[in-house]
Amino acid sequence: VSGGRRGEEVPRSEGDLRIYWDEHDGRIAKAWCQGTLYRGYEMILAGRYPEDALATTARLCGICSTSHVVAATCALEDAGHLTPPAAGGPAAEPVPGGRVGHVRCAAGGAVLRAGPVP
Amino acid sequence: MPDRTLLWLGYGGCSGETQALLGVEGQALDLLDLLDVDGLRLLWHPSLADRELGPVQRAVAEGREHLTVLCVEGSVALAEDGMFDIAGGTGKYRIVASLCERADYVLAMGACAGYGGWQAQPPNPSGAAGLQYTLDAPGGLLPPGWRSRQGLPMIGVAGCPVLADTQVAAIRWALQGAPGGLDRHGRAPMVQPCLPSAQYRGCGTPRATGMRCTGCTGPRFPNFTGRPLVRWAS
Repeated sequence: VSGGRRGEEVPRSEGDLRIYWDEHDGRIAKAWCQGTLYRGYEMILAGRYPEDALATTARLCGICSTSHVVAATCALEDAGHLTPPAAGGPAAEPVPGGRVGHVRCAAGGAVLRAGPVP
Repeated sequence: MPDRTLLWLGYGGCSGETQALLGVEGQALDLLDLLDVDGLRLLWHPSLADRELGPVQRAVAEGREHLTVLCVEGSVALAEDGMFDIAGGTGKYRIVASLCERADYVLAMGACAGYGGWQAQPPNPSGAAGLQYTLDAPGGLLPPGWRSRQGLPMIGVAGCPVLADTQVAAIRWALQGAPGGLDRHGRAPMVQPCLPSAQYRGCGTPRATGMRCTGCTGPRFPNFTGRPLVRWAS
């Protein structure tokens, strides 16, 4: 980019994502992100028992594990045309119900990605 | 006291061991003890570093920096010349392989680093392997006969994730020269099932989660077979 500057940043949660940007006149002109890790969980889950997704997707990420499990749970509910029982609904709702894990995920992520450099 | 250093690499995993070490229950103090009391100097850690790994890696490779303890977290992607886990346009397996050659002790933190773990289950799209095993078969990134500079194979610290106490104890044990040696799957003696407690022996997972144990300290973990992985505890 003429007259610009190119930057690159590695997030601190393992570094499986890279962020690139072009700077021009003190502003971000363009930005890209690149996932640098592929493990193939989708391929591994294909043909498995549906409930295995609950234990497996949690292991995608040690920071946002709950997000993946909730997504897998929603997918299973959709696939099975299931409606959670009355007590199950609130348990999956945002705080103060069951999605405490989301908050934990977000807090952990915030500290690692935006916290002070030691 | 001679200069002793620690370098931590994050590979194909969930960073669960790092999360356990830096967790909210005070375990971070264990890591700080390791640095302050035991005098380990932290060369690099993905979540704690304020700079790129490259210069540190070169310093170790060129012998300007001594590497005492290398901790690796996550499996190593070997398929397609490592293109499923890359840094700087090249497969990251090259980086960890070169650092293993310089380290006095190499610790595989977690089931994935030791044996491949979740992503090594069939069909293992990324060619995930552990440092010196692929599931329970000897040989992973490194061949079965490989030894670190202190003459030891990979030290397996299996679990999913490994408790912070166990991680720190394993590092201290390695620094003492790994007295008593490893078990038949290359594991350190303090490796124990997750969620243990004083009330019951063995794995506390069924009681805590309602699911039966999936064997996170075993080399085949999570051991995908023809049966469902998730089985509800009765």
